[in-house]
Amino acid sequence: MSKPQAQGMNPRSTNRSRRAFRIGGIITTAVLAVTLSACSSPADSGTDDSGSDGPVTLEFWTYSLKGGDPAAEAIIDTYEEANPGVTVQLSEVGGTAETSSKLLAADRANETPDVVQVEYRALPSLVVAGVVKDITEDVADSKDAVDENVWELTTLNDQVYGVPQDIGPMMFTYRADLFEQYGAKVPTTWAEYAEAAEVIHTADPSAYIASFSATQFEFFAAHAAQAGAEWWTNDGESWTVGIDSEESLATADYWQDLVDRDLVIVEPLLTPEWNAQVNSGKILSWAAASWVPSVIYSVAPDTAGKWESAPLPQWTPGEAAVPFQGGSTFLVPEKSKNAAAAAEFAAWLGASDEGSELLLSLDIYPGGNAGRAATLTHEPPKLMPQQTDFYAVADQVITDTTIPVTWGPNVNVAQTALGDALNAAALNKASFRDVYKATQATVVEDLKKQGYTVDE
Amino acid sequence: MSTLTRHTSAPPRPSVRGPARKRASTPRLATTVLLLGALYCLIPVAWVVIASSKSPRELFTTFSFAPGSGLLDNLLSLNAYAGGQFWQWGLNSLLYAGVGALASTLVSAMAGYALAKFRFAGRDLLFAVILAGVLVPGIVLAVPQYLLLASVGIAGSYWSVLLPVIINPFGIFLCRVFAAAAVPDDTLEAARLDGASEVRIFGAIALPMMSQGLVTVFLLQFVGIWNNFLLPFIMLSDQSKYPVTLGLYTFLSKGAGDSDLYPLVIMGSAVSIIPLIILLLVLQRFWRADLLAGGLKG
Amino acid sequence: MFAAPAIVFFVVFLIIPIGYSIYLSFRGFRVEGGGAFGRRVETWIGFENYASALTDPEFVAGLGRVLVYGVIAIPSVLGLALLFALLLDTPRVRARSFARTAIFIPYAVPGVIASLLWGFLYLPSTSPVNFIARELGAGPLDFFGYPALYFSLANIALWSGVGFNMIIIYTSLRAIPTEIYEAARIDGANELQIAWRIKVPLVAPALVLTGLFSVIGTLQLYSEPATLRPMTTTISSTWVPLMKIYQEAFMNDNLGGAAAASVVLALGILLFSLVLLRFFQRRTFGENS
Repeated sequence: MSKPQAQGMNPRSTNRSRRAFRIGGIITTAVLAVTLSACSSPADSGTDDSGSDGPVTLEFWTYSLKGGDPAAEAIIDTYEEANPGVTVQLSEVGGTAETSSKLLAADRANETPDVVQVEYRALPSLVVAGVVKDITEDVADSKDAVDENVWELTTLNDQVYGVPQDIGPMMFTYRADLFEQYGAKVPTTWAEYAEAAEVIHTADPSAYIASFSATQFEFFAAHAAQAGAEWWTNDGESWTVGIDSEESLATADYWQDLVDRDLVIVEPLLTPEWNAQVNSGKILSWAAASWVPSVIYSVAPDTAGKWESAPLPQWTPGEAAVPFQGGSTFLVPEKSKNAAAAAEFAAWLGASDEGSELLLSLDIYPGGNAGRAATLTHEPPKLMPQQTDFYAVADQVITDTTIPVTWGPNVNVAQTALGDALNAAALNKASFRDVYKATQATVVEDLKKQGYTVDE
Repeated sequence: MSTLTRHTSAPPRPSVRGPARKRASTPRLATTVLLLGALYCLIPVAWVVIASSKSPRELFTTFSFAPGSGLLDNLLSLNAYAGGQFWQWGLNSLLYAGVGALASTLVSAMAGYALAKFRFAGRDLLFAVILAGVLVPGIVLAVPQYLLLASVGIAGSYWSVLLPVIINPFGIFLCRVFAAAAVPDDTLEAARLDGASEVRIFGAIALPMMSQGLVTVFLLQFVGIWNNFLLPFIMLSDQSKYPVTLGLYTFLSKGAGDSDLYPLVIMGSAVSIIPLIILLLVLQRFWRADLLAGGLKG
Repeated sequence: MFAAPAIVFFVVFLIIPIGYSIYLSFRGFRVEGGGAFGRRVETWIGFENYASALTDPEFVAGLGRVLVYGVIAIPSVLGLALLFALLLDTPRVRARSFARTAIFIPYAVPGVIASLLWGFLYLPSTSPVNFIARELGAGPLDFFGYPALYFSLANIALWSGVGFNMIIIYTSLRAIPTEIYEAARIDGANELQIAWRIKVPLVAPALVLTGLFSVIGTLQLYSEPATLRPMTTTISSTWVPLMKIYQEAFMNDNLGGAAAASVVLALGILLFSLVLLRFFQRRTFGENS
């Protein structure tokens, strides 16, 4: 049998090549090491770095404006025409999570873009990482163009760190035809919601009023906020975490009850499974923000015309308290090389009359006053062409009591902790209350570990 | 499928015991099992192709293997997305994988040749250290590599995706095996005696002898780079430089409010698998795994 | 000399990043500047990251899961690869070329896409398997429950990897000189006996090689559970160690913690591999290393 693995074969040219290789290798490595260490501080990168008078290219990371989408192109063109010398370059880097992590990496490499879109909940953690520029001065003029409730979403400790792009006033979107078929009443309170759930599930054991998705952190935060809990608050100096406050725990109990009685189906949202069930009418509603109709339409277009949206159920009958869920903002990275131009663009897009109205063409709910006003004359979402007062309902929700949801610097930690634990609890029939308390503990501990003062 | 050159006629059915019978029938059981295996491997691929023909409304409502009506539409919307950027992504992938694999194969060949044919102190240690590189998962390397390249100013460029993939420990291992198996020392000796330089020997003698093994290394590295997603994700933010895998990933991971992209992802996947399959089929012909086998007998 | 380019690249793209990671593993972000929005700054924190990683119950649990998964996946992949390779090598078998190509094709499908498409095949409403089950009157099969989840994940790895491993073993088989078989057949051995007694031992080195890479791949399991996680409630965000590392690095912005956990994981893999190699080396390789 042959032994091809030649180990001890002959090499003649040993000494010469051995030395050559060693020396070559060492020199190359040394050269590289020196070069790299010399270049480690704020390097000159490849971005356009002109002063205030030369042409400016703004790199814009966004997932709402897609290159190639005529509506998005129109927006960019409009701005570029009005501001000659400014070019806006769009880049899609994924959703909020991907955008945040890439922004952090980019900041550390001193290569940041100029305008970045992230959801509101990501803003505090980015701010404390030092990657967001304080643009209070730059956008001060735009403050009046945006409702105070909305402007507050990007103001931390009286400093403005972003311009709101869109908001998500919460609503209850449901299959009107099936509710009628099963004889369920459209709920105005959460107690009625539970009743309707029972009616539906008894009538058809394979149908559910809605799904329960443990990873929808923003929903749970908003739900608790509506009940009066505040998950993160700060007085400027220290943080208070309220995930285990009684109001919050009451919401945990509420969902526990529904899950235990099998009145909601435990499933992640927007999976092929969920989509199939929505299509076949086994999931009858979704309580979330005003962007729900466009999402449902994209996975179940055949069900158009059968849905309606109503105000969100309340905890106390007769009240009209509503939180925001989701929505995003534009921020300017600290290390942006065109910060002034970037802030101007952000202010235009998010707050100006023209900009916020144009945002409506992207099927999102603008945060600027002009945009909001424009929605009232906009046709209803494709999912419910028959509901002409859709935007009126949405708008009313904002002018009524809107509850702020404040986010803390470690939202990510809370999100994964709560999501994992709730999923496990739903699977093992354990207590949701305990999950909330455990999450509280994790969040507080993480804040302290990082060095924040926490009031307990 | 003639086996006359390699095997004598023997009782083909594995279940037959006892003295050899001169029945030359095909081994049905073996064939059946192999076909079942092939089916198992091909069914999901078939699913992708069929699913890519479904429009958004059909994707979640019809039976998995019933063809849909939206093939053309899906293709068109894929084409139209971001102004035809999908095809640009395809070209990018081709660039990264093609050039990257080529460079990687060359570097691995050189290293494998050196490790197999020259004896020097620390050779085995070097080899072991290089192999240990396989132990480190890409996730760990991604951010430091990004910071490194950013400090020299090339992060975000095509180079930032091409350079890190050139080092391929498994490729070096294979090349070492090929070099040892395919290049006889006597030939090298003779060439040296004739006065040829080492570089010349490598290029004119060793490389051609290793060539068929090099095809294997190229193929493996091409597929690996084509499918790699994490490295481009961390390095690139200019959408026009994305490879196909990263582009498809951004389809999947949007903020709430964008789930009409499943059909695009599936269509995109179907389209992106095709070049790889073609490459596989074409290169199979050149694929001499005998050399690989030799090394593995060790 | 020829090895120089490889060495340079190796140092730049592996050694330096690893070194930097190790450096990072001793640092963390702590708040400086007072107030609720004090900025996080990178500072030295010693072994704190290592302590967190080693005492984190999820990290340890993840290691446990990966081992269970490995026990299921590795023998299946290798066993099936060996079986297919042996079958391919059977004299006069039909469809050899077709089967070989077909079984190898899944290797060309990227891990993320493979997980996505198997996700569709596993979820009750879109799965053809469930469709058939329902037609036959059985209930929906839960591919994501416990313990089925391990098998479902292993299946994806099996589907993707069996072709690659099969080719390696097959080519090792093809290199065996046929005289050995002739001698055996003359002695009256049938194909099965030839396969078991002669071929398998002779391809043992190839098996060890593929085994080793399978082990490493298993301990670094990431894309399958990560891609399937959004589709089901039974996979947590830190289900395997590498998911935890990814989460720390990219979502919690805790590069130091991620680096420390990676060092721990890499050392674990190294030890495991060395032990395995030593064990098999003696038995199959004889005097060569």
